[in-house]
Amino acid sequence: MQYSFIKPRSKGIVSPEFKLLFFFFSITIVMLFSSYAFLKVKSFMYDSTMDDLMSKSATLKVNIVSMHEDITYIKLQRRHAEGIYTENTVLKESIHNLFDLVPEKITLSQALLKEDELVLYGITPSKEVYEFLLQAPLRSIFHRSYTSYYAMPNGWYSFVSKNYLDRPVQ
Amino acid sequence: MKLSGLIKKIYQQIFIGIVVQHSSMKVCVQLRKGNRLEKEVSREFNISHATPTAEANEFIKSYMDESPFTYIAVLNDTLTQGAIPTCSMHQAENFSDLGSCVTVCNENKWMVYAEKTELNALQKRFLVNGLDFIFSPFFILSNFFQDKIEGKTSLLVLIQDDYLSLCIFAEGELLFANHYATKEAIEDESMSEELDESAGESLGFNLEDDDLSINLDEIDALDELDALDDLDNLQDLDDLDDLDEIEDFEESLNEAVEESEVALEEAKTKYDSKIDNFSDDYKRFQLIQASLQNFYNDSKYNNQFVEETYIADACESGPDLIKFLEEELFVTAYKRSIDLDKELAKMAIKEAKYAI
Repeated sequence: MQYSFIKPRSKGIVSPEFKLLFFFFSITIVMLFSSYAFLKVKSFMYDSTMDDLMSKSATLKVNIVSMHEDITYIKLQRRHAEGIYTENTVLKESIHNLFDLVPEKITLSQALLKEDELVLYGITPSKEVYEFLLQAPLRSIFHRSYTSYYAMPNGWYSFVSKNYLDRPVQ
Repeated sequence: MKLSGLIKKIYQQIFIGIVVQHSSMKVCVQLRKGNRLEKEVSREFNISHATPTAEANEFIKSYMDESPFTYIAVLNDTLTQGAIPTCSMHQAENFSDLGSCVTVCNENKWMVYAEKTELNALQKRFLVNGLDFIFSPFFILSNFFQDKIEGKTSLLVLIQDDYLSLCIFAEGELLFANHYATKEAIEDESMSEELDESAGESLGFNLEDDDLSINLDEIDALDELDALDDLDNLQDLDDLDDLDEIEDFEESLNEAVEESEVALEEAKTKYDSKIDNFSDDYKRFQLIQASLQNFYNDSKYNNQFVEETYIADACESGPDLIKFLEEELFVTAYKRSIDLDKELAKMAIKEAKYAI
């Protein structure tokens, strides 16, 4: 203000009507862009979630395969354990039966029990006692049975009995 | 290049100067592009009570619609305004009470002031189109006589139809200023015989002098009244029963009377304008004389003597004012016509440099 008592009104290139129009257009454009941005973000988030789910799905598939393998392995182990348990039971029964087989007159000093083989060391008052009371049942169990006798000074015999089971040819 | 400069070059700028009198309004519109004047339109409107009519507002609005950079400047026509030879509000108290005034300082030397409420009222009168600048007549005067104020003590007078502004400058410094409404002064003084007498005495001039009274000999139209002489010839009518002659006589008599009435009316109008012009000049002279007396009598102004008077005439006044000033006040007087509306537009251009 150099000479005038009042300040001039502010001058604008655009009219108030145009300003109003521009304002509403701006709001419309902003809303459009914000909607676009919102959808874009949502789409991105959806893609991201989908990728995560896909990767999780793939991981789960891999895990399922692994678990199937584990299950197979565990089943195998279970079968194996059951086999061992059965064998042990059988073995236990066999040993029990074996000791049931041994008459009181015969004394066993050592018994070696293998898968298809039973080796007995012991002493018997006589060969006949052994043959009648122990060898007969052993023969009924094992396919082959060999016995060696060694005379002892007191007239008894120490014996070694080797008994074999023949596996059927598969 | 500054943005504002670029905008000015691209857009047309419109400067509208408005000078308001009580019953007329002058508008000058300048359309400019950069520094180039493309078009200038001046128009005068008849208004009432110094308020623009709908036609005037429409005229201004038509130009305002052409460019967003339209500046409307109006000359301050308020009564409570003036100028004082200081920019210090403290010192200004010695000259006038500026408590309710708006002030504008010029070059930190002197300032103009105007009553705030009157400025608001002025803005209200132009509420339809609004105002951008209100200029003081003292700034117009000092700019118009820029080459004269730097020298010896000079009286600058701005004469409008209804207003008179005067200020005294010495070596570029304002000494004294006053603003009057001559319309009111004329009315007041016509009511006051006392002032008339004192003025008459001071001038050695009497309104009843032959020079200024109506000289019927000067009215040519009155010669037409010679036709009335025909009435003298009534005696020559030998036979009053001659009806044809009587009818002719009546017709010629009526024509002569009608013509003489028209002539009298014209003469009266001519005389009235002459006496009005004289009267206006004389009242202006009285105001100037009274102001100078105030100036000389006030000790604040160091008794400086006004040697020259420069009159900016915005209303085509007669030559009498200069004659009165030179004969009665012993000052050399010069008169220069001023288009106030154009001056306002010019000043608006200067002021608008600070606006964008």
